[in-house]
Amino acid sequence: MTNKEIPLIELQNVSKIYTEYGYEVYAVKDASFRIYHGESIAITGRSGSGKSTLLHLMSCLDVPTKGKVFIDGKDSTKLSQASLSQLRNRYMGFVFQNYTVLPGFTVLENVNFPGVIGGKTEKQLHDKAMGLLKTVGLAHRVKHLGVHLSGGEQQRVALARAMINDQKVLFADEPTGALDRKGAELVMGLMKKLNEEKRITLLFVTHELSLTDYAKRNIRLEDGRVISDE
Amino acid sequence: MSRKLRFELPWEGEKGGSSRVAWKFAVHELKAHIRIFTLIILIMAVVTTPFSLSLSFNYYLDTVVKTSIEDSVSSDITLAYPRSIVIDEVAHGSSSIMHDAQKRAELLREKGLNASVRHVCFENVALPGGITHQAEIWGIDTKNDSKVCSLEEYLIEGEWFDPNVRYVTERESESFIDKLIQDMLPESQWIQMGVIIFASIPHINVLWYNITYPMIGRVFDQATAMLFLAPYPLSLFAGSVDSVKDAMLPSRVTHPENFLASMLETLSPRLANILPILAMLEEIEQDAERLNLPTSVVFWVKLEEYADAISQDFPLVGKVINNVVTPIMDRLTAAFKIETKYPLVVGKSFADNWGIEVNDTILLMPEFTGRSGGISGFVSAEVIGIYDTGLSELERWRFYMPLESVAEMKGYRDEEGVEILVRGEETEERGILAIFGKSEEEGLNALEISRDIFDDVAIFTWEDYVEIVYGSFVTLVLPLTMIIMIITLVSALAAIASIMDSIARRRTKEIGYLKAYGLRNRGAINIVLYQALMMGLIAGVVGIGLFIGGIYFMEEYLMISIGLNPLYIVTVGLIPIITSILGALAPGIRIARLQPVIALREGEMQM
Repeated sequence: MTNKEIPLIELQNVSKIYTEYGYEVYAVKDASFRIYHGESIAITGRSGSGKSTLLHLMSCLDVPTKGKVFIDGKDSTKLSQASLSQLRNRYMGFVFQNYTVLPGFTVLENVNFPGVIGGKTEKQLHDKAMGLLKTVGLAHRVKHLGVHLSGGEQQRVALARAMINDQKVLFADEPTGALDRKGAELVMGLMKKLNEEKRITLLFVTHELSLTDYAKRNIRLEDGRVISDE
Repeated sequence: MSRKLRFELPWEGEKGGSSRVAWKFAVHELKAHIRIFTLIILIMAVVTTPFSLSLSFNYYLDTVVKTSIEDSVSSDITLAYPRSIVIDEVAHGSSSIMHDAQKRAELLREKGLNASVRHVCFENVALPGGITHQAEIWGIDTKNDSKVCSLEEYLIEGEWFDPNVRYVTERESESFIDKLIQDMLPESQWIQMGVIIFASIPHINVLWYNITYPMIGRVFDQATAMLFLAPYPLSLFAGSVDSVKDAMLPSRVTHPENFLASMLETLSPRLANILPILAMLEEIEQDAERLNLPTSVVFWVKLEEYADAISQDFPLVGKVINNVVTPIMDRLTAAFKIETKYPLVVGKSFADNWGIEVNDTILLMPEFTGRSGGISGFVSAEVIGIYDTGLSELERWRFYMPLESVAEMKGYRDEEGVEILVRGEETEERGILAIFGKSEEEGLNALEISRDIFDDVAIFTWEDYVEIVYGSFVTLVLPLTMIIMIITLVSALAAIASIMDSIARRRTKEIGYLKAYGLRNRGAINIVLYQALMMGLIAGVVGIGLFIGGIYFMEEYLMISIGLNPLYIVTVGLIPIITSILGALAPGIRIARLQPVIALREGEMQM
């Protein structure tokens, strides 16, 4: 289990640089902070401020150009691709803005994917997946294909999927960006509930300041720099 | 370093299930794009099937031609006069007799090679039912031609030739001219000299026959013509009669009910007496047609039988037949009668086909060589053995006789050989000059030794003949087929790669999600490879089905016995698999190497 003394995620002078037309552009510049188990954090900033890039770096979907990202005290930049894959599979869940589910597969299959990738069979996962779908209010749509779900339902499936392996942290990139207000409140409420009840660490990116109420900590970005961490 | 960390990290340890997810995703993809995948599968199967059929057919041709030629020549090299030429891709000699063949063979034997002279001739065989079967008769040296004599092992009935026996007839030392003088001609020296000069020049003899027969023969029937024209047709006729008698069925005179018969009966009872003669002539025509013999030969065979019937109504004709024609015929047939039947070993497929058994007598109709001493007309041969090598097509037309039998039959002298080597266009004489096998014990190089000894003959290896006969196929058709098929397969491969890449790109975002959730690179590439594997497997199965169907079609309707070669069944099954996997490799690797975040971004762009 995670040692509380050790941060779940720690960024040390992390930068992500892209080269465009021969010029270096900092998507994230010199970011350093720690995230502990069970925290709920909103990463905010204007469009193009580097929020999503920072989220990708923290979730090991991307690698920093400079600096280091530690997960559970281990330097992720030194891990092999296979180890990174296992790390994401066991530790991390994701909710993206659009098309979060695989449209050709059923709701249950979508929820089970991380578990199957992790080595479990669908039979082993069945009861847990059903419980999670019940939690997110989609138990009645188990056999429906992803393509037939609404945007809000897709995000709820993504939430269930993010917990099938008892992941420790949920990364959400503009999870309500494609939802109406009611749907957005439902998804955000569920995420907050998961954070509070299941102690899952919550990190979400949003440009809507009103959503920061769902988090206890707010990291603000501007031009790739962390300008506040409260 | 990563290896060291693997067992220390809390998230590692259990075996992952990337492959299962990849398989699930691949199956889903196949279902989702069933039409395009079906099209690819059909294209691959349809492309592969002719490829394998073509390979099979080429292999079949290659085997048949090589086996036939190797078996036909059955030597390491063959000697031929330099003037032997290649026409229509077939080697044959324009002047076939090599007069010192035995001497040359002896020289080669002295050098340690197993050399022997062989005569090969193409003759017609008269079979029941009026069928003429063309056969290649090999006259083999039963003492020295060890390679051919090893066929003894393949005898399934009867026996092989005894090397200590000379299989010749009583006519061995007597030439055609001798017989003619002794039995037929008056004692007048002038007449004898004239006939000798005329008959001793075979080409003039044949020329004379060829000029006169079309003029006279058409008017008076061949039988009449041959009595007056030349020794060759005369001998052909006379030599045939005795042999043909054995093959004839009992004749029955019937009265055909035709218009002419009815008219004759009505007009005059006297004229009606001609009816038996008309019936006889008709029966002769029928028998000649049935036995595939010249009408004149049948006519003379039956002459005695009909003589009595004819004598009743035409006493004068009867007298001529009984007192003039029949004695002449008796003398002729006695002169050319062959007491001993030549021994013959035939193939199983020939024997099975025609119901021939050991000790059966069959009629050979040797082609005319124009050489004095050769037998004209039909020759009786006794089947002493039946062999079975498994090459049924070859066995159907290849017979074996002792060298001396063929030499006698064809009029060759002991020291001669015939140089023509491979079946080609029709010629009067065909055969093989000198055949010898490499001495296996001493490992002698037959080609080098022969070149050392002879600088006045052309020397061919059997591979040369394969090249001559098979040349255009080997050097043009086969490589062309291969090039076309390679281009087709590369095109199919490029098409598969393009389609797989297109499909993979459409699924980039989804694969990005799966990678985000821990799908390994190997799992990502497997998604594409499993699709390719399934496509390839199905295409392979379809291809094998089409291939077997194609083989069946060729065997059933085109009568080409290619056979199902397991190698080509495997080939037709493997090519689609290999092609599709190779085609899928590049898009698979591309997908596998994508960082999850890049995959998600690219996927967004693809949407």
